Amino acid sequence: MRVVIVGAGVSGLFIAYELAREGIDRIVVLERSYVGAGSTGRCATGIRASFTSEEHVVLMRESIRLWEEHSRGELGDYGLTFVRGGYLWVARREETLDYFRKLVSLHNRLGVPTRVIGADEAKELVPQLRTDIIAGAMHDPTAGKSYVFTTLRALMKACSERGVEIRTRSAVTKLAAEGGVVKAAVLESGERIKGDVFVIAAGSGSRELLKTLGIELPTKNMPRHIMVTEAFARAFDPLVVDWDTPGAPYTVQSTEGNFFIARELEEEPELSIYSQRIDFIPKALKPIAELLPFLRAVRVLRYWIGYYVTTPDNHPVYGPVKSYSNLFLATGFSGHGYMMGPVTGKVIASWVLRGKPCIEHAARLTLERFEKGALIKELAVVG
Amino acid sequence: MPPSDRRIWEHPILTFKRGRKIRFLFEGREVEAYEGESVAAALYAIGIDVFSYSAKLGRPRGPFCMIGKCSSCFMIVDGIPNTRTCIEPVREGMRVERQRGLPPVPNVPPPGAEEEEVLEADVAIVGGGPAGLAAALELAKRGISVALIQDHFKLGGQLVKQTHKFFGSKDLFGGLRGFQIAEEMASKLASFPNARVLLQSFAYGVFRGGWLGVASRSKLYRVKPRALIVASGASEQYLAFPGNDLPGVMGAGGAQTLMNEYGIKPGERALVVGSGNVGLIVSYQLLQAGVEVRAVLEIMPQIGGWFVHAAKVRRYGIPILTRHTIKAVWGSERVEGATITEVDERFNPIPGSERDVDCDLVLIAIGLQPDTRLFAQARAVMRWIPEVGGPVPLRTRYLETTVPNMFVAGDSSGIEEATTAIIEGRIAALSVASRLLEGSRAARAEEEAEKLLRFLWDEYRASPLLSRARRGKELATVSVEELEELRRRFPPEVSFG
Repeated sequence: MRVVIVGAGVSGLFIAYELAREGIDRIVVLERSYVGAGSTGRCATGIRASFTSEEHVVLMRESIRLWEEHSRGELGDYGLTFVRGGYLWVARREETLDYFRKLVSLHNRLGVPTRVIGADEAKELVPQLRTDIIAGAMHDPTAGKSYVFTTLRALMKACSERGVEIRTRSAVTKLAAEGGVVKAAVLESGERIKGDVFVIAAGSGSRELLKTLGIELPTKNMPRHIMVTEAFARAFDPLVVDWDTPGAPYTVQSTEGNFFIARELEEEPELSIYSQRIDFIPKALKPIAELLPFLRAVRVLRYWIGYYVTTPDNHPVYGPVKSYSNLFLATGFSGHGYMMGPVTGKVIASWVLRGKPCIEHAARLTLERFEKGALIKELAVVG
Repeated sequence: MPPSDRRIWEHPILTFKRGRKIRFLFEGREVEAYEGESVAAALYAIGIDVFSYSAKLGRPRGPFCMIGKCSSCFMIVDGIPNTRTCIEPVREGMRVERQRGLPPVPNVPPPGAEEEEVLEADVAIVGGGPAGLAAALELAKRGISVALIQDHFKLGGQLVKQTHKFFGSKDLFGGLRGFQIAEEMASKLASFPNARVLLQSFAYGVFRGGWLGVASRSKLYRVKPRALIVASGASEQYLAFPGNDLPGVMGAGGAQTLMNEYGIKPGERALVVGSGNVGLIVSYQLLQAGVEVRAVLEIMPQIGGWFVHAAKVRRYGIPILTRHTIKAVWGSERVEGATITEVDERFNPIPGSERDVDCDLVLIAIGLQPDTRLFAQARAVMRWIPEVGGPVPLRTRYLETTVPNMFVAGDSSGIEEATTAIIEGRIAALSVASRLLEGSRAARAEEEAEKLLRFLWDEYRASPLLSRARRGKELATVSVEELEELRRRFPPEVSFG
């Protein structure tokens, strides 16, 4: 069996890795740019299971288990790390704590041990945190982070060693099909890459590509802004979210020492990722530096835009498509593609090889749900 | 604390004007410096070689470029880590500490760091070297308001370390030494009320809607200029060999800053890698500063620089070893010696030809690379042109790039030298002026631009000695029609004006 995967981001590479581990020896990953050039390499690397839909929670609990397993296994030997640093949603207002308590009961019911904590306990987790302006926080001790570039490098090494061919600078412009079977991915150069199975994990490029098969993917590419500071010795572990400021600014220190800082600003979908805004840096930095004053004295190294490839219900589009027998999707992660990478790999590999996902909840996330109106409800989309 | 003082008190052609003595704390001990010195220069002067220990491997690091383009001189200054001490002036009572590994997060926020200001200026100019200063003067004298943004605490760029007398007409500062030209241009600019100079300020990016972001020590500025001229200069190219990060391995320009600008001996016994004009001139300047020069290495079969410079170096008995390169340097906290080797026709080391050289200073003089970061970020269409040092933005002869109203001048447009930088700065400014002014004043600016263009291309660059740079600049230059075609193929993400 020859598997053609479009997209060498975290999803495509984890899918390739899992398929290769299951003995598939003819896998080619086609990437229009360089490995991780899309949303993967632009993300803030946070990983959590504290969602409010059963589907997200079940999938993310498994993904976290896999992140840990990978960090101790072969991928760990190649540099993949996972730090269980937790997430800390900081409340500036008392009322927010009531909202957090509701979220916590949802999380706890789904098996994620979040809890509401006081300002002093929050300061124990983040010693630099100013407690005089906060009411308390919600803490998820099971969440964590994984530095994206070491993850990508580990995946590239492990994939290459198993004979996976990763072809960068190979943009797929079209998928060619005959009688409900996808036959080839056609490159910009005109070259046709034939295969028995096709997996589309092309992030923000998925929608246009699937149009060539007449498939309408209901995703929007939403520009999201993020910056990174210079590196420092480990200061604190959790990802800190300033929940009561619009756009929920957050920061997290990478395992390399840099702080990622982001905030959601209102933007039109599909805007160029090269149209940085001059107001972003102060807008993101000011509120988060109110909580963590040292950030005022830190230099910003880079600022970039990446897409959240969002679906109407903010859950990914997984699995097979009715009209084509050999086509599988892994896209539309709505800002959660990186953290879901390991479970995406398992789920899609299982679908390709055994005709069904290894986690039944994933079966609720196929493209069909949008036709049927069986959307998933999720309340907290951040980081 | 080593008792040595590396300051030069007698020099054959230079006299160093030192400011008043001040005191500051280095690693908790009081040390002396002279006002006007950078922290890096002041520490180097009193024998400090190690400025930090690297983040991952804890390797000793000392200054390399001395002009704010690299990260080799990072230290903790008044509690703020990763401060580029080569562009940080000494101040009475300041606290300077070595970094050891990744620094802790700072504990003292700088005052007023959150203030924001919209800066009003017709034209923003990035870089206060010869090109930026020339552009600013040309615009300011025509009544156009300019904001000149300079990362250093002084204006002048690399002119301040050029000790030779310039050729050419009075118009081009012929007969003056580089640092004198810098002084003259800076003081003239200060006389224009419509020219605002922001020192210790960084143009950190161009943004949607034609904004330029500028970060100074106390404020975050935003400027929406009608035109942007980037004259951000160049940085030293690097060479890979074991030990290349040891203190004492320095860019040739870094050593020039120390000895020519601050009057500080960069070492006692030097090995120079590269025999281009910079390598040859720096060798001669080392001798003037009282430094012994062991050899100049050249990997090619022939000397890279002009005969006049090579002859001068040879006259003083310095061997210029062609087909030679550096293999390694060694030392614990400072260069203690180097191994050099002969190379074959394909530049591979010839086994058995290695020789050890006793030296404490290794200068890298293998060329410069244009600083084009703002163009890359603005997604100007660039081309890799080895003749001018690497990737440069494509531009018309009027120096406009594919980003509308974003101009380039000086070394950031491709490596040449200070005179062409001045001419390019003026051409860019005149091109801008011809757009911003009206009627006869616009026409006059255009005429002057054409006159300068004719001089630059038909006379100045016609010299056979400049043929390589000329070829590079030709490759980087497109016609107005070609520029429009490039803009159609690669639509600009941002534009000014």
